[in-house]
Amino acid sequence: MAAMVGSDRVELNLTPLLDLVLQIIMFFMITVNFVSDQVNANVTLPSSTSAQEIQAKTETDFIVINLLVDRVDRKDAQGRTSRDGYGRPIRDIAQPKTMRIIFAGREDIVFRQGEEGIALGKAAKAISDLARVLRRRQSIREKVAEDQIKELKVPIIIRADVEIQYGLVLPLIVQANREGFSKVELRAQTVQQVQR
Amino acid sequence: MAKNREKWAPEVELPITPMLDMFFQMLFFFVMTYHPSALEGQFPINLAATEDRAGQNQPTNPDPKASPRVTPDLPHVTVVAKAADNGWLESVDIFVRGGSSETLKPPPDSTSGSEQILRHLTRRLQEIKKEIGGDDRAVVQASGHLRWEDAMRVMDACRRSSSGPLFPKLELDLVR
Repeated sequence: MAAMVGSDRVELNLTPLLDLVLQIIMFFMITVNFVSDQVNANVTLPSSTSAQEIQAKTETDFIVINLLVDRVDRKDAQGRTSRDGYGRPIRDIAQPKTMRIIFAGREDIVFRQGEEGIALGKAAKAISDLARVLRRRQSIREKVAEDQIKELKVPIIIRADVEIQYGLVLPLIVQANREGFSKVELRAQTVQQVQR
Repeated sequence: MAKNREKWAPEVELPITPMLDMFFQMLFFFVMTYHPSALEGQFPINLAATEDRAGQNQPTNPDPKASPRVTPDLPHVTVVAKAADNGWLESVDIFVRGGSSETLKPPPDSTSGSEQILRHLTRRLQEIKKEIGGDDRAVVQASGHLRWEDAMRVMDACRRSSSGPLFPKLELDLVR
């Protein structure tokens, strides 16, 4: 009884805890990367020492074309997924080699070696359809006739897998250019330049 | 009177428990959705301006009777990347308008062939850049079956060296 009378009220000091939690939340909110639906995470981008920082764009003002090769997880003798030094699964190209051209909101164009021509034809049609829609939208926004629009302001971003052939990427760029897309960007993983 | 009010004023407490709950929920959400991804960069490119213009620098099968077409805005340098049957980089040709042309190939016993080619390419382009001066454009032509990774490495080698930019404005084309 005497001890109770003499003791102070014990309180847990939550202020430093709150400070810390708020700082962590702040960190995550700033670094959070809500990946656009258009960006396919399965594309293994090539590395580039000369790639520049991406200028901020809003979700609606760009079109991404993903070109990728289907991959499967590598399995060890026990059937477990092999992993690299960072714990990431090692992925091999699926056999037979299957490639995809992916536009957001459209069905994937899936093809194998030898079917590139057909795939490029489908992709060209998709680009053409997109250009028609965007031209109409731009004409309404700028209050001019559709046929007066020479250049579409929406940039095309091409994310091609390391294993894709150059001859698949370039025709898409040419087609985009022909349809009036004046800005075409390639995407790569940025790496620091090694002194040679 | 004032003294009395001070004495009997109720103790105001801010209930921080719900706030803490919410913060922990937010923290949990962000921790679960956090995926540090590799940093992507952009790579602006141009197309070889017209079908006629592309490949003008490349003196393959020159017709001696044909009069040369003068296109003042044509880049001085054309780099032609050729692929082996398996799609890997095999050799690189450099053409300089009104000047030299050369082929870069790795020595037959080399194990890191494409690395050597690209190192040599950057070195040669540095020399050419010094000779021709201000033009910061180049045409890159590549075989259709060249792997995209190798094509990108060739473009990288053309765009900049470790000591600074070389030909940052690239025009892309296919080997004809």
